[in-house]
Amino acid sequence: MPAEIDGATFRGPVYETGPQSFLFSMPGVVRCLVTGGEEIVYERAPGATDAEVGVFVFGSAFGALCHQRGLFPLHASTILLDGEAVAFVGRSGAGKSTLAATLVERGHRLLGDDMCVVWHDSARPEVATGPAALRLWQHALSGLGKDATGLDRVRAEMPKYYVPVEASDLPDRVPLRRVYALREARGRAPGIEHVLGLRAVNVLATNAYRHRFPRQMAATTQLFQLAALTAAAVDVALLVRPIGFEHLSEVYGMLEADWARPAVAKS
Amino acid sequence: MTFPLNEQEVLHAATDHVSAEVDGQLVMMSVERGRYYGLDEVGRRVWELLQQPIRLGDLLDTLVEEFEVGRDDCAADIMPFLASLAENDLLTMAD
Repeated sequence: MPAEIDGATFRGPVYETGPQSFLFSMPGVVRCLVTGGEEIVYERAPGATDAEVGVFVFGSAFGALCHQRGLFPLHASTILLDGEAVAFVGRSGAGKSTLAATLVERGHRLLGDDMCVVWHDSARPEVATGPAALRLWQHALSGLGKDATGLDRVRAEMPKYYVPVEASDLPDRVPLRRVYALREARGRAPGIEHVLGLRAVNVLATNAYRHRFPRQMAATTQLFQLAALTAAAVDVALLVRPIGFEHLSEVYGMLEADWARPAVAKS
Repeated sequence: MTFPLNEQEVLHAATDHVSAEVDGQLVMMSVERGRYYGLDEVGRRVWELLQQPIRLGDLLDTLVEEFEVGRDDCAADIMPFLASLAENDLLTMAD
C-alpha cells in the first residue's frame, strides 16, 4: 500500500485522489487504494471488524471506483415500485433511510441504502440490484417501533445499525424512473414539486455520491454529462415534507398520490 | 471586457464549455467555475450565434429579426446576459 499516489489532483487529511487513483486512510480501521475504476485493495488495521472495514470499502472506496469508471452513483436510498427504481436523495441526516424503512414496512422492496449506482449502457438509465441493508440510527429504529437487539453496528462507537432486508429474486438491473430530493417543510407547505432542466440537473449533480470527488478527480465534465443524461430521462421532484416520525404516514400518502399519476414523460 | 459593449466588438463563445439538452432547456457548465446554467429560448439562440465569432451589431440584427423585438429593447435585454456569460468565463472577445 503506497503512502501516497503520484499525480494526485487533490490531497486531504483522510484521502488523496487523481483522475484514476484514490488512496484513503482511516486510522485504526482500514487503508484503501482504488485504481482504474477496476480494483480496490484494502489493508485492514488490527482488530477492525468486517462491518467497520465495510463502511469505507463499500462507501468512499466504492464511490471513488464508480466515479473512476464513469458511472453515476447517487447518495440515495432506493426502492422498487412496479418494476422500476425510485431513489430518495438528500444530505446526510435528511431522513432517506428512515423513509426507505417506512416504505419497506409497507411492502416495498429495498434496492439499496446509501448508494444507488446509475448505469447508462442501455436505452434508459438503470440501477443494479443486489443484497441490501438499511442503515438506521437508534432513534430511527425506536421511532419505527423496533429495537437494535441482535443487529450489527455500522461503526463500533456509534448507535447506527445494519437492518438486513429480505433478499429477493429481482432482475440484475431495473430502470430508474423517479428521484425525490428530500426537503424540510419549514414554513413552507408540504408537497411534491417536479423540476425540469437545469434544476433537475442540479438536484442530481449535488446529490452524487461523494459529490466532492469529481472536482477533486478533475472529472467535473463527466459528472455534468451523467447528471444531465440522467435528468433528461428520469422524473426528478422535490419532496417537501414535515420532519418527525409522527408525519411518516402523511409523507407516504403524498408519495402514493404522486405515484398514482404517471411519471413525467421523458425522452 | 468592459460593459456596455460597443456594437463593433466581435464576440465568441468560450470553447471550453460543456452543454446538454434537458427537458427542452439548454443546460451548460462552465468548466472553469464548475457551475451549471440554463438558457431559455433567447439565451439559446444567442449562444448558438456565438458559436462563430460575431459582431455584436450583427447579433442584435439577427435577434431583432427572429424575435420581432425593438432593437433598443433587445440590446437592453441581452446585455446583462452577455455580461453574465463573460463573468462566468463563457464569453470571449474574438481577435
